Amino acid sequence: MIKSLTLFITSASHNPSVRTVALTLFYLAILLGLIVLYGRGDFSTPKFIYQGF
Amino acid sequence: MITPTVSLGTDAATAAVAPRAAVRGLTHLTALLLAVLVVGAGLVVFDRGAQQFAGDNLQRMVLANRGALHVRKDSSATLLREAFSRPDVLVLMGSSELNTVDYYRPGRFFASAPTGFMVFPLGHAGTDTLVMLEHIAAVASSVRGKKVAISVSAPWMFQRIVNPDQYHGNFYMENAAALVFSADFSMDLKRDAAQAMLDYPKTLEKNLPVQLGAQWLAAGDPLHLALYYLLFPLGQLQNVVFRLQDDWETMRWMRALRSPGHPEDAPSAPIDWSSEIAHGDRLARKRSDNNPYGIDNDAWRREYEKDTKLWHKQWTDKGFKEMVDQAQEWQNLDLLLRSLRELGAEPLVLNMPMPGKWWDGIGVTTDGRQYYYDKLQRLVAPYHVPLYQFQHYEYDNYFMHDPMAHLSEKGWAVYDQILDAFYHKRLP
Repeated sequence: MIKSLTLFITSASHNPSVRTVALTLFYLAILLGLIVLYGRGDFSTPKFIYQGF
Repeated sequence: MITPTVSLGTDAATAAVAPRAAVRGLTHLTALLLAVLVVGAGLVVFDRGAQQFAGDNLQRMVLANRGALHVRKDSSATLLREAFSRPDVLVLMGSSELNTVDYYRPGRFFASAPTGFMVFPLGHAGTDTLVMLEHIAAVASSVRGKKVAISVSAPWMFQRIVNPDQYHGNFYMENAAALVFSADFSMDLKRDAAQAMLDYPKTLEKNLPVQLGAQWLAAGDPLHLALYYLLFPLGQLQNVVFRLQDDWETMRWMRALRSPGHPEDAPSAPIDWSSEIAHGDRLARKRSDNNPYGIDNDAWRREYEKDTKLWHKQWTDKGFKEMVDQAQEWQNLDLLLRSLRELGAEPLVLNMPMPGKWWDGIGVTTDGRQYYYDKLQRLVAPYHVPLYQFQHYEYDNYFMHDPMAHLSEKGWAVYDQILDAFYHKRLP
């Protein structure tokens, strides 16, 4: 089964459409990963002394 | 039989490899572009969804907080954008007076839309006009043609410059970036705003594009303006990122809000304003009976009993007028009004009166105070927008919560009446 799977993947990888889809998913994962890692903003403000107005 | 062998030379080998490399490169590029398109489309859908979510939950948010100030609400351009977009919401920009007393605060009083609209109060302690301008810049396209009320605090207008700590505590980089790289305002306005922002250089240090953009805008010469224009696309791209981050944070915050109850003391239309103002007067009197000035009892004990003795006759009209003339806030208020004019917005300016009895006592008489009122009148006049200064309440001890720009319940009831008239186009 592993051999037939390997053969299938190898032959699929020669297919240009399959390669494009796989690469697209790869880049999509990178972009989504970047968004998850660095996408949160910082909306905090420093404390300050309230001067009455 | 001799089988001829053909061996490819170096050039021919390279020529055979080159097309395969080019094809692989093109495949990667295509895949990357497709991924970027998918992510871009997803983010557009997310932004629209966040805006929709904010709109669907705006009243729930107002009721949950009873219109109370919450820093996250104030920092959310997503919410403010939605508030301006809704025809049944009036945005009121101010500072600490928005949260000093509970009853008759507009956010609470209008929370159930008794006369057909809610008030979205924006600002908290230390929100000055430059901060307000930055808020407007972040949502400029939503402000076009809309009504907006501005509450002015007298103490801003007689200190030379707003305390940097106070400005820092109200500063949001998203809003500053939106102002510096705005496509909605004229270059003149942006240049003048950048000069004002550079009075607080520490706030811009954490973001190089905004810092450089502000500096180059403020410089104003052709070379620096050319550099600014080169930086502009990056600034706009950053603004998009800020917007999406804000969408996310706003949705997270709003989802965590508790379910509101209906306000038990909500007014019902038609509102009897005389009765409400009289009620506000009774509430104010009840909690300000330990001093002769009508100052809130706690505020008197905590601060003003000492200050009143300390400052007795220590000020003069001449000195006060000089302080008024030197205040930076006049330019910033002018910038705010210019920005609203450029957007075709309809502002209403509300100015709290200075309690006459107390200010007479420390040495600033009617003459000095009138100088301040006249200066504000002259600043607002060219914009042809309604200005209410409530000077006739100067000697009403119960209009103000304290001498420094905080309204009492009575003062807010009077303001609420004006806000209602403004919304319904029935200003006296």
